[in-house]
Amino acid sequence: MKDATDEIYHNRAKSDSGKFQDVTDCDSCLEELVFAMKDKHHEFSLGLSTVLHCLSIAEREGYVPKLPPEWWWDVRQY
Amino acid sequence: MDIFKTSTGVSKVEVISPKNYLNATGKKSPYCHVNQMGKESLFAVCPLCENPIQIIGLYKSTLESGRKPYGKHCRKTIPGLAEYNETDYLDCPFSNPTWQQDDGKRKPESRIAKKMLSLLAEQFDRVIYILSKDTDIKISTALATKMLEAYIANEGWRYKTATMNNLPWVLGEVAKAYPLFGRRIRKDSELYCAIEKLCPEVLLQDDNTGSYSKVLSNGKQYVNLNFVFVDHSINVQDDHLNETIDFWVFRGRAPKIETIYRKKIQIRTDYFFNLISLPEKRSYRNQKLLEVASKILKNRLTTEV
Repeated sequence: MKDATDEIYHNRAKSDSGKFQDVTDCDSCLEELVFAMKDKHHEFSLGLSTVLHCLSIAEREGYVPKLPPEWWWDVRQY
Repeated sequence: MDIFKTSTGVSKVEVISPKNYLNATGKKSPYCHVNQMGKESLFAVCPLCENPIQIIGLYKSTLESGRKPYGKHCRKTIPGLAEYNETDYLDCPFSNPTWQQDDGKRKPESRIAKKMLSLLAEQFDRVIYILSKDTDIKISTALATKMLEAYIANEGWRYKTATMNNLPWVLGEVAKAYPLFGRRIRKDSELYCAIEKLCPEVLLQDDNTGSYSKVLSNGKQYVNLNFVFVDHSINVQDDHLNETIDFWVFRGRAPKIETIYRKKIQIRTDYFFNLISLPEKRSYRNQKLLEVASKILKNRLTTEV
């Protein structure tokens, strides 16, 4: 586990005013939804599949209550 | 078997008849052999296992023999025509009347298995085109890539049901179920009509071409539609090959799967061949897909072939 003083853990990205975009038109990726994010240096997007992956880690590590397995089975991008 | 082809690889498959056979081969070597007594034997290639076959009863009328001309594996190499491979012969639906579909995998030494990967690399765009046409779904580059990755991971080229001519449908068969959400489907197709009728949670939004509509949510409900290829069936009856695969669109999951649309696709052995045979001038190639296939298959081709 990385030390919390490392730059990566201090440069926290936040949602850019809740902006998001449907990207189902993209021919090159299977992402459905992306969120606009900002950190100290950049503006960038975060895909829903990444958010879901992070949620599964949080669930596994006990940082969020366990979700019903059926919920995960029904999620398209998991 | 009641069909033949004149060379190995993807080539035209025809019904065995005097007219078809003679026009295709000119009755010349290596198809026609004459022994020292002057008796001729006629040969061709099995469309399923790539092995040599002998044509029996080509000139006998149906009334006399009670049977149309047919092809039979000759179980030996015919030089210049086809090399005999015992492994592929034993897996061939035409090899003996007691053959039953075996959903296992071909042995690594299968010649067909090795050729399949090369064919996929050369024709990946056409494979995806055929699947798109048969399903009325526009398969994006990203989805095509995922399907190819699944084919590699599951060694689709070693499926016993895989032949040179059914490659597109076996690619579909190997893939898992994929979500229909966000996909473009052909407007007014049977699939479109089924979704319109049975899926109130779906908004079908026309794209700017007017020919396709995107599957989206009505804004209030989650869209849990998936599509998959199942029930690949190969059977031989009276020398005739009948091959089908089901394209299935469903909602939900077991034990409450609801069928929204299901279609039995007749696998036409000549379809893939005709597409590959189009003259360069008339054929459109999707370079993006070919690049994807080349990149993904590069390592496999050097180890398997």
